[in-house]
Amino acid sequence: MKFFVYQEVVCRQIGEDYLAYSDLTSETISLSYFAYATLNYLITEPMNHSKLLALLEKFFNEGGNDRVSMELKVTLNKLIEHGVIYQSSEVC
Amino acid sequence: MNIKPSNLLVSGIINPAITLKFTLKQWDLFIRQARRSGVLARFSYMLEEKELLEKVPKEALIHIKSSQTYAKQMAISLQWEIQCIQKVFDQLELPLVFLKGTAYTVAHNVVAAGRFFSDVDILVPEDRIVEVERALIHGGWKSTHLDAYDQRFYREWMHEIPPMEHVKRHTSIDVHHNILPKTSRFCPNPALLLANIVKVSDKNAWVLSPEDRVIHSATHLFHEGEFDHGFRDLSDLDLLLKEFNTIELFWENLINRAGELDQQLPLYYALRYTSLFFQTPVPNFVLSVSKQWFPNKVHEVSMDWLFCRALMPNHPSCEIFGTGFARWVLYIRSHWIKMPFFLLVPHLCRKGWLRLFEQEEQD
Amino acid sequence: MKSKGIVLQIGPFTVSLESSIDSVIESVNKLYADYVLLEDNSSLFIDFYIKIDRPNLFRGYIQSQVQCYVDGKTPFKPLPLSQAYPFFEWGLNWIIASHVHYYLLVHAAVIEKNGDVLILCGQPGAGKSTLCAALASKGWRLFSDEMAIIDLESNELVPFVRPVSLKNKAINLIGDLSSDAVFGESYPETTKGTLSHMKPMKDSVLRGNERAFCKWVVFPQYKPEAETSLRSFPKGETVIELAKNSFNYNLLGKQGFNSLCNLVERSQCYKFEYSNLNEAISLFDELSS
Repeated sequence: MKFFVYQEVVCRQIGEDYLAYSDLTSETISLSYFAYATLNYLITEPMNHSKLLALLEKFFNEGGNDRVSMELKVTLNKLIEHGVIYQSSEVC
Repeated sequence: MNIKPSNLLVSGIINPAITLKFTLKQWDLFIRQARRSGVLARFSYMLEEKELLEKVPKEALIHIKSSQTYAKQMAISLQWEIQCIQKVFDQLELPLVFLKGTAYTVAHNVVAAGRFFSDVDILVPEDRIVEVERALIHGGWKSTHLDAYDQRFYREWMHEIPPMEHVKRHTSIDVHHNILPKTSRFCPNPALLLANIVKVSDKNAWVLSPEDRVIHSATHLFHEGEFDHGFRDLSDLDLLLKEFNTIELFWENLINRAGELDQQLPLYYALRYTSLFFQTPVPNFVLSVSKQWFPNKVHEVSMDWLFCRALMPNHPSCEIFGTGFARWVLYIRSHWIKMPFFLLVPHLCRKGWLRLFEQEEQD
Repeated sequence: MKSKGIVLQIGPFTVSLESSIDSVIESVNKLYADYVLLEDNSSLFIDFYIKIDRPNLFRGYIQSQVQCYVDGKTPFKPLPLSQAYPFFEWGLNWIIASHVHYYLLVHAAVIEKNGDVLILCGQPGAGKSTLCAALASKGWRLFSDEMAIIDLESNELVPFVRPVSLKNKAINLIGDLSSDAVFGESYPETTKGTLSHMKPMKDSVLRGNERAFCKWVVFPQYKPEAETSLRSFPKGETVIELAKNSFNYNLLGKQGFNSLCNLVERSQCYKFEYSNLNEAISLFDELSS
């Protein structure tokens, strides 16, 4: 199963903040830097959980891998809930 | 361009190219008629299809494009809403059958382009309604119309449970178990509708068969009492018939189906008035057969008088002598055919009473 | 009673107003005195039609009510006849917010100085209209007291100059501040208290076609006895707040989002607290110099 970003989504940095917008829900969401990095990885290429975690662990290594794993779980759930990403077993 | 003001919109919908000869004043009125009738965005797609959009004067074009923006966004939001409802139905092992506007969207019917929706309509077997309602509540919807009379009205007499609203998104869903109220004189057998449903996606999305989609649209329009969207609904029928015209044996199936579902009269009206208003290419043999369902010439003349007024665009410039009266008569008629007399009188009295003593609040 | 009609160019919109109620026509003639009246003919495209009239015999005369019709229909409940003119302004807000999706519309006051626009955005009661009226009567050019109109392509603000609505104490405050300020009638007992309208300065009306880019987005909050203070506000939160105050952001999709982000990116964003109007004016004058 891979995570995909809906084509109706845009994200950008503004000042020192990060925002995402989903046409599906018409919501504007404030993102942490972690969430912004996660989303950008997925925009570049849909990927499964392990690959995404590995990339993020390399970049966010403060606090240990458990913390990164926990934060990724919370982030992915939030992004799914707000109509930004979805999971699919389709080959992209 | 010499067209009566009241006929501007109808002429433009029949032949969009004619609008390019309008004066600015005619455009001014046309936009307002189209907007009021809910077909301005539809018209924008008709122009776009004929590559005429950029020939429209800029004063009118911004309004047309504005309407298209609104329609496009509604279509995207609807996709999300459909996904959320599909998630609920994942637990139920039940086909998710969409009706009306949502059905046209998931089936990619031409009529969906530029059409506005206020809510999602679905059809479920009556014996699964409670289960569906519970699943929707679990998914974040709640029932509206909590007044005891309204609850009884819907659950005992109507063909749907009270509308449900999502607590976060404030979107509405109407869960139907039939296409007409139980109390109607000619209530179709819903099992027949569900037996012919068509899957339109690899996800859980079903719609009524093409004939049933037409019949449902006709039934809805010609049983309704309020014609705010009468012109738009008639235009829906015109577009559906034009699209399904290319399906083999569609017309034959349509005629047979009307008989099976006891909906010959609404279909007769649909065929008659789409032909009159939009010159819909209904084959002659179909018109002849449908005319037999309505043999009384005097009745036909009076219904023509009523519907030709009520179905005009709901804008003051399209009203002629008798429009108000025609709409009132059809309002009473719609209740008459939906409810037996002993239910109708108290129901109308209650509606009138509530309107008289409505609390007034400033917006 | 016979209806009178007026056709006006108000900002980017051509508006037709019809009314048989004298007070409406009189107020419009006074407060829109500097506007060009247009002549209705076959080559004039009118964007919006508003009619202010008594609803029917019972409501109109016995109950003394007035109704606002937008192209023959009304989405409103009737109001007391005494509020006929404000009903025109509210009706105009409604029709623009409901139908105009070719601009991004935000509920905010907008004023300009030296080619730079200041957007004042806040909840009712925050003091943005008062601040806007004060600045507009002290050399700033009024764009709008209620509605920021943002061009989706160019990102410029579009003037939508109209009488400024002021409530309760603000009416006297502005009257004291500026001897040039001209007011329309007072309307006590509206749901927002006593209401009156300040005629826009002639310069703002005459320069109604001159657009400009945003330089400051400020969220004002009037607080009795507060120190005048301007604090930086994060840009991400500014976008979200402006979106919440927008009439049609949720209809404009990615284009609306990008438009708003571009506007905020080019602007300085602040939260502003004040209790003294003169100090507030000085602060913004300094900011613009």
